[in-house]
Amino acid sequence: MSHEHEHHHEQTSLEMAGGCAVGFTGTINGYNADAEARFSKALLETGKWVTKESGVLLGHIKAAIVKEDGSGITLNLTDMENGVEHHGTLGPQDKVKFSFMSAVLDVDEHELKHAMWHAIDDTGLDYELDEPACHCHDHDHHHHDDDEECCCHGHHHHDDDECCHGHHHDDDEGHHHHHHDDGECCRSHGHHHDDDEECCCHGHHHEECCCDEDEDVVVDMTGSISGIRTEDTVNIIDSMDEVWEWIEGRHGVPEYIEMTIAPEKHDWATICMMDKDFTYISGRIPACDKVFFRIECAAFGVEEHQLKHRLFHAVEDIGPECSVNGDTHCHCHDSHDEGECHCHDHKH
Amino acid sequence: MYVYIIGGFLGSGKTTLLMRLASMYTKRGLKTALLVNESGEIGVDGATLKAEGYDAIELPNGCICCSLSGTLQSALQNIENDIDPDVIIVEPTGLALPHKVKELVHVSGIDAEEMFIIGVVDIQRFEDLIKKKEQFFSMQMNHADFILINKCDIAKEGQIEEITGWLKDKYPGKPIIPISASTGENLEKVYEMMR
Repeated sequence: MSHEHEHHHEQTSLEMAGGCAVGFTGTINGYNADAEARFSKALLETGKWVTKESGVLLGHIKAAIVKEDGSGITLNLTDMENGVEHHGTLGPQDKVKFSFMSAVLDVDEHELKHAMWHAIDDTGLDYELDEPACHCHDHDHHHHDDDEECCCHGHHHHDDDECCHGHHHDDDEGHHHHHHDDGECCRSHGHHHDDDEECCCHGHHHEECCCDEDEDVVVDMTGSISGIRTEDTVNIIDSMDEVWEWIEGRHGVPEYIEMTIAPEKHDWATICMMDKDFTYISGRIPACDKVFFRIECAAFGVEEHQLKHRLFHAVEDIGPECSVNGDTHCHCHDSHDEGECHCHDHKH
Repeated sequence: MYVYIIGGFLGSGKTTLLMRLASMYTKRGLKTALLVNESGEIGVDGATLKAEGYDAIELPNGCICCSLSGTLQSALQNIENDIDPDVIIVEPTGLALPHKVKELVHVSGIDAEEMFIIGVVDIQRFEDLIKKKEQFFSMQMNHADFILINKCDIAKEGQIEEITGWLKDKYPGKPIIPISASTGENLEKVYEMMR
């Protein structure tokens, strides 16, 4: 007689459905609206991964972000078109706990957890996990004595004390920028300074600095964006980042970039980049069919029409469909017979 | 004591419906106990309920229809002894089989006058779910006492009629009600059906 019954394993409902459920917990330092948007993006990225793997997101990806007393917010993604739903409100906190879980169909459990780790790691959140993450993350900010490169995330390691994740190191005065012995300005706008004493970061108070000779340019534009979601906050910050870097790349000095989002039935939200390392967010962008916006940028040392052009592209790069001053695309690209755009050529 | 089991696939809106039902029973002056189960070791629904001001008993890290069947029975006995509610609403995971949960409630020995399974269908992902997991969907809905088509507030034109027709063909005789647990649309019809 067969002993098959001894090895019979009754399928669980999870197995019958071909589903899996994984998750992990941890803490976030310096929680605020920006962190909420970043976490929301981690859910969306996990959702994209599931969609890519199994063809459709069937299941849910959830997170709870709570204070010590257990109160807080939850984020829930069940439909990629609908985006991440936010429940509750939570103001800025020094430290919060989080739970991040996914229960979905037709993906490998370990790969799903791995994708979730990476999704949260890529947000730029200051976080710690309660359990060890995947081995990709084990480099624990080790520094190399030579030019050996870390293969983990394509970050470069240097032979000095630079961190591999872009963490800034403060100098004696608490400034985040590093100063060089050769008198280079930390803003990288290529001006030379007489000594190494003064910081040029915020005041441009160097004797021979030519920054002040540049004209202050302020450009603004208005328009509408269709199908915006809360997690687009991160895309807006990324777009602002690119404009900021573009200005600096042209030896200009950015002052601020501010975008106000005005949904029809919700409160306005404002995102203002005051410095490369400091973005102020007021309010929250809701998931909306259509919102109106105004974006303003002030900078020294760049040409107005070029800044306007770059700003147009920054709005385009946010993702959802947009219309700026009634135009759905930038006309700079229409006028070149050769099919080549010179708008982005850097002036030297 | 009445026991309601909310069955339905992951993300179909069971937790939102649970909160609506809990509010409705509280308004009626009935003592209600909520029991929430999540398949992952990390529970999030409990936090969702807490964020919205509800207290629930959480059973994470497994499924109450299989791996946590013993835990479910102990939890139900504790609820009866400690809270002695008029109504218990059980929300199994979206991957659970509600009829199995019903069997376990039945054998738990609690004094349940009647038990009902509410089937919740997500209008938005109905097509995808049927395409990929029709058999599992049927196992979840077969034993439902009534079926709610949820998220009707975001339905496309003709979608409600199409899905209602499909369900009526498949489950003749079962009441089928399109609702939106999120906006509260049509929920009064559900409340009327509940004890």
